[in-house]
Amino acid sequence: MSTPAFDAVVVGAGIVGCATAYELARAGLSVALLDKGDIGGAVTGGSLACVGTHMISRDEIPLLMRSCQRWSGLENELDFDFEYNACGQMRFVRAPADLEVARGWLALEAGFGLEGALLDPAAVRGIAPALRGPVLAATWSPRDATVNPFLACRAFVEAAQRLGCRVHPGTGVTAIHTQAGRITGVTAGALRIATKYIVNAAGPWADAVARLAGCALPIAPRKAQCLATTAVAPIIPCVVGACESAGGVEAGYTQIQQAAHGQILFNTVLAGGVRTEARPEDDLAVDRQFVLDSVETLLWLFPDLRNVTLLRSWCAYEAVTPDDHFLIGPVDGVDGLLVAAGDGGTGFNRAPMIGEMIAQWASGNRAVPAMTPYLPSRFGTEARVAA
Amino acid sequence: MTAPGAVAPVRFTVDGAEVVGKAGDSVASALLAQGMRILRRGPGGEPRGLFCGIGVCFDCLVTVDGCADRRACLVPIRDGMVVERRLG
Amino acid sequence: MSGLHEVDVAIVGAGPAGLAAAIAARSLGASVLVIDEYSAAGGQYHRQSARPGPPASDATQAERQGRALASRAREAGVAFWADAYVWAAFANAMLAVDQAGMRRDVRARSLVVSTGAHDRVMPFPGWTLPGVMTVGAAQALVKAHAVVPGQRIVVAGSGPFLLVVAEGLAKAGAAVEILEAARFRASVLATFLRFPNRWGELLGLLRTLRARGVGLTLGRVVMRAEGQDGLQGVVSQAVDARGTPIAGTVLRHDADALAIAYGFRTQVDLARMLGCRTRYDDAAGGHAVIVDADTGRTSQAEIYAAGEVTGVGGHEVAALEGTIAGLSAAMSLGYTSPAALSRLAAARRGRAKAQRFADVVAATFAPSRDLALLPAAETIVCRCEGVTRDSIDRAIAAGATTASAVKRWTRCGMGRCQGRMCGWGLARLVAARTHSPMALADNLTARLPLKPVSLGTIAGSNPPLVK
Repeated sequence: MSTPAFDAVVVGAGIVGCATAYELARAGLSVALLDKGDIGGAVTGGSLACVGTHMISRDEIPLLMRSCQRWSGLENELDFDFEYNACGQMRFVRAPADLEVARGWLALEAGFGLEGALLDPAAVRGIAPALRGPVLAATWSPRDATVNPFLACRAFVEAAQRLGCRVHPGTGVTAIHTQAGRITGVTAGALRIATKYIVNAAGPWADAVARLAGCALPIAPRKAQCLATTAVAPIIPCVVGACESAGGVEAGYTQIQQAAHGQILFNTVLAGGVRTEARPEDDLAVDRQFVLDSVETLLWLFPDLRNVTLLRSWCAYEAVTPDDHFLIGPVDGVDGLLVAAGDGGTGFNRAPMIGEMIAQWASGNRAVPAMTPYLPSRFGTEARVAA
Repeated sequence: MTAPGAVAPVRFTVDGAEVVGKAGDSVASALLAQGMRILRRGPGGEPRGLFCGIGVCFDCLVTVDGCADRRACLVPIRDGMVVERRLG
Repeated sequence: MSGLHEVDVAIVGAGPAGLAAAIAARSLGASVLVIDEYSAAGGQYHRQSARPGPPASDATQAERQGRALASRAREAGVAFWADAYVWAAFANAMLAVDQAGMRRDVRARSLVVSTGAHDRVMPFPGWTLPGVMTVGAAQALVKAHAVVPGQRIVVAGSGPFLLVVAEGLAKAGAAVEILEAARFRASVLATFLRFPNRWGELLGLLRTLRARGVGLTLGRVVMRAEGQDGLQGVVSQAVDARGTPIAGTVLRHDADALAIAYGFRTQVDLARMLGCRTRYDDAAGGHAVIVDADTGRTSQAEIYAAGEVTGVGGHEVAALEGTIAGLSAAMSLGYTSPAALSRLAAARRGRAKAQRFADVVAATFAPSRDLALLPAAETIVCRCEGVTRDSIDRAIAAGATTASAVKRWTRCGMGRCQGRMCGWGLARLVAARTHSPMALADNLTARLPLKPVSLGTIAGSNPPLVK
């Protein structure tokens, strides 16, 4: 039997890998998409899939704006209803010190022409009447949206398949083959594929995959958890998050939203809360304190939900880089090896743009300006030293 | 007073109508004894009734005394209990 | 909220295994707490009448035994929490319990998981009609409430449980007909002959069924349930050894109730949440907790498992495993008695013997390959979310190759029952379509809450529900 050949192999079928496979196929390349588990089964499936511009990243606002623009048209482009809902996002302020943080973000975003406002408690209740908790204020970003993370992934995968992409779930990469410093192929169990490009979109496993090619990547897993209630009538009309506090993500965060089917999805991590350095497959248990903190915060904001029942919970591992920015682009030292990983829990915000950048590069355009801030080489030799 | 061996009647209402069951009945068994098999409507509007009978399938959900989503197979009937089915 | 309850041995599930474990552990002096979801101890096998007052004169032996075991445990000082279920387990055997809406936290030095099994069902056209229920539901109605679910009842599916329940329904006055999917071969009969102590039980059952006019047909499967607002009839067809329907054998049965189950599915979610390793054995209920047969110890320290969760084997195996686990759990904490070791040895011998027969039963009634093909394209597979077979097929075609993957893309198994009802059918469908083993396909995860629990209960601020 001859070895099948593809122009590019994408390793990891999360939202980044799926979007990248689609963009590569759209650019005319033949593509195979591999995942060691289910499509969208790891961090993507655990995501709350907010697609927005608000309070996410101070130096990526233009990229986030383009990404949001792209998401708003993707249901049509991919011909798939993935529950895109431009519901807006609110970030509540609990401590007076965080009012300044809120104003700073709104001013920064206004500079890019983004709509936004600081709401007093009455205005908060004007948008979300059930939010009766004693918040001081809340920011409001009306254009932020949510998507169903599972279906958004499926939309990209089905569209990619229509363009000839071959999808292999349950197929973990076991070897990466090179010749004279160039990628020549990949082995995944019994499957052997010849290719000249490998896109490492393996999220928290990206470093492990890179090591198969003798490279190391500064990516570490971080535990992320979430809870969901049974379906209830519409009560939470937008994404409700906690305003970034002075300490950033490390100081804790909250995100609450209601899915299209009525389930309320919510999580709260308080300062000093969950932070596991375990390998992503080692610890998939949802923590007790996380459950108690999340429920307490939800009921503090929405006391009417007391009789609603908790139905599901899940745990996933985000891929975190030292500067909380993605690694996107060629990995120095192995010609044809690219990386697209380092979501930090917000991969949906950038996935379509990442796909476009990788596709441009793989189509022969080796100067992709948008990629520059994300090049793995920004971490110097550390990222490239052979293991 | 109930004669020895006889089971005491329990009076409660279902969607406003009085139903007489026996002490020891669950909501589901009391309704079934009266020939009332439909307990709610499924996601497509189709009728649903008692299915697993042991609190696992959550198909027999009814509202009991204003508390939604109680499992009719597990809740014992009591005098004056108000049971509502979601049949709309 | 009533603070943290600490105990030597906590036992989850008060069926034959749990009761035996409680009595055994308590007899060595350990403090024991039994947590059970139902209002009366006994589980499905020893299910008690819910009628007030002393047991009726026609109470079954299983009911009388259960009552005796529960009072023996109580008199020995075992604590019982009824109407209570463990909705989560955390590190260090920390259990979160919802008792009728009230939050209770338990920390046990040792834990025995004896959460049993529930009826295993395969979706088929019409299975959501009122009047169609599991075999266990029909049994619970008769045993606990003395209510007969219909006047003409078809009892179908597979397993010896069908005969027992059909007997109870017939005695309660219904016209009953049994359709057993398995076809018995001579080899099965020969194996059965090796267990002469079981002949009497079976022959007695068959005699009663015959005397009550209960028909028993082998190798016949319910293909469809019919009716408008409730069941009116059942359509069956003869099947070959692979479960493939045989042309020209379709029959229609008038029925106002159908009790159906293809054996049992183990309830291993608590054990899996605790990290206990499992093996996969479709004939013995699916995922089964791996235990050391001599102690009942799981792969996790100080966590024991007993009964159907270690592989469906019936009440005798369960009770003996309960004794083994209860004694071992207490002994590992330093409790003992002069007779402890000999009691342990006797229980081990008994278990090994009972297990041999259980294995024969499991093999005899192993579900056939083509059962997975029962649901039609428009049949609802997931009762909670209303997901049909064709939407599952579309997800599989798009690259979903496990039950979890299909769940994400279709919501099948995402509802209140958390996949307990559709999980097996879904996994069988996935396995059949992708030619993968059930051990891979049947991969819905066990996460908290093990059953839905109200947010107010978790927050510890809810008044208890009136029961």
